[in-house]
Amino acid sequence: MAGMVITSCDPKEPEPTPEASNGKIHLKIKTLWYDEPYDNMTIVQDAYGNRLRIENFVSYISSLALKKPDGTKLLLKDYYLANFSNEIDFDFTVPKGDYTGIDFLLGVPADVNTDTDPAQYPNTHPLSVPGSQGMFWSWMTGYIFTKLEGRADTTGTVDEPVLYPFSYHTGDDEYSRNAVLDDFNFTLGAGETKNITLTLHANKIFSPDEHAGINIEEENSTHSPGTLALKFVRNFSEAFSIE
Amino acid sequence: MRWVLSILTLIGINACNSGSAHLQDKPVHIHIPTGFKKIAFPEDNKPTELRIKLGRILFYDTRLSENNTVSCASCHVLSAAFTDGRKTSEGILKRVGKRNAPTLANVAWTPRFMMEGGVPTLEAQAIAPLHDTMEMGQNMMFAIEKLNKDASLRELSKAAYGRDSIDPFVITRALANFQRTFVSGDSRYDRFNNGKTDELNEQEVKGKELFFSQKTMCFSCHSGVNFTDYSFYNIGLYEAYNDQGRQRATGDDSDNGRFKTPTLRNIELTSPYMHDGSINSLEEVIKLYNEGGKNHRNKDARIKPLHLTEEEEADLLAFLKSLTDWNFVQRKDLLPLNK
Repeated sequence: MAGMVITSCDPKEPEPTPEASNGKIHLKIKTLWYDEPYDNMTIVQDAYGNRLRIENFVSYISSLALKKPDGTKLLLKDYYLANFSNEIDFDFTVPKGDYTGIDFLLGVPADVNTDTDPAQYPNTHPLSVPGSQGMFWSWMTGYIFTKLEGRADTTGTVDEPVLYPFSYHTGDDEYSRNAVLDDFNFTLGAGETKNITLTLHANKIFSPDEHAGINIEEENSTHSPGTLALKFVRNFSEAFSIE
Repeated sequence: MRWVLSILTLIGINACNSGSAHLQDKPVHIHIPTGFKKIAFPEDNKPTELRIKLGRILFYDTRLSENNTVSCASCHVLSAAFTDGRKTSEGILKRVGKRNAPTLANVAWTPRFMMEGGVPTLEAQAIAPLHDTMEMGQNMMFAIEKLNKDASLRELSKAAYGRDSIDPFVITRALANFQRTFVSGDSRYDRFNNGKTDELNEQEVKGKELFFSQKTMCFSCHSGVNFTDYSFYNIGLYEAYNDQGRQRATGDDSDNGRFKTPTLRNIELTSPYMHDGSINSLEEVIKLYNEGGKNHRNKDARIKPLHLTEEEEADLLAFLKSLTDWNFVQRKDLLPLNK
């Protein structure tokens, strides 16, 4: 007790209590198809005229972190299996201060993906056999980083049912990508709450602003490394924005 | 360091004996045939009586599949050297897979699993067929729910691995532990090699000499005591492959159509052949190699016309049949417990 008093009175080494030094981050991730909220029951149309319904859209988010002005990062979450069919909410208690951005890995880091054994993790862990919810390759070791699955009609006829399946599964160490959102700065004061909303523009996976798109009619499936998987992970990682 | 190791040793011993007042576990020595290397058992999965017993139960347990119809043994039948005689295997709801079931004989020495080599351990391999929708089609968490309702299995699991319930660790370890007992090294060829020179007849000896000759180079891929180098080759089975093979794991076009060299032990019992079961007989396999395979950009340079006579083809066939271990495929300790 005496030690605490002495320490707290030392002006050179202040050790304020956590309550006084922390603020809160409320982070929301929402998915849009163009400007509309994404709904896995709704049929939408892509830039190629294909009508589609995304039925399953899940991805590992790893190393979710706030960036600091000195270039270091504050880790918020190590691994999370995100279901983009639902709005995702996180609450974090973090030190007050200046922050310059947020970034995360879409996938899992190589050191937990290569020659991994998911049976080693407790069942509640997102990388465990039950926790991974099938996000594990059946033909090789390692996690499926992202699954985007659904059905489409590529005939361009409005009344046609969407029956044509598409399925993009990515994984393997070379196919994880960092999503970096550093075009915003904020100062978090002690006791304050900062609301941050990340938006995933799902339409940009198929028709990105700056790169080649993915036309479901021609490129409807990847479950292994290759050109389509590379295109998918690039477009996916660039489909996030921050409000 | 010595102290830490002692503690770990104690933990290891405890894990083998804890958990059940009724069941006592003890280490098992797996017999290693002459010429084979020692088995590199994982630290967390040394062989014990109860672990092998648990693995044996699970290997034949259809509860591992989504609709309780398929077990490991559905595609890995002892009498067929743990293959299934099908072109490609059949999973739940009669779903037909893309690959021919590989033998499990001597998997204790296999360094990488699956035909593209993507799985590094026997323990991790167990997850693949459980989750594959064309095989057992069930997330392991549902299998765990079913298995944990079985009190005797829970007790066995506790005694074998010291864990309170059956979980993915237990399932993967026990299955691997049992499979490491699938040791096959008592063929007539083995006995011949161990000095019983009358075990092979004249034709089989001629076939053996051809197999290990520069003329056929069979031995250059089918090497070592298990007749495999565990590497990946394109043998010119097709001009265009429907199955990418090794390329699926690496993404490299030069790996297109490459598959892991299979063991030739018990090859007589493991028809049909090739990754897709597309060749029914050993005679046809030998003919494929003798003709030099089909053209493919990745075909191995050693696959070229061999100009074998019909007699030489017959000699090779006779030699391959001498690799059958009839004692192995009749081992009662590899059958279901109640058989």
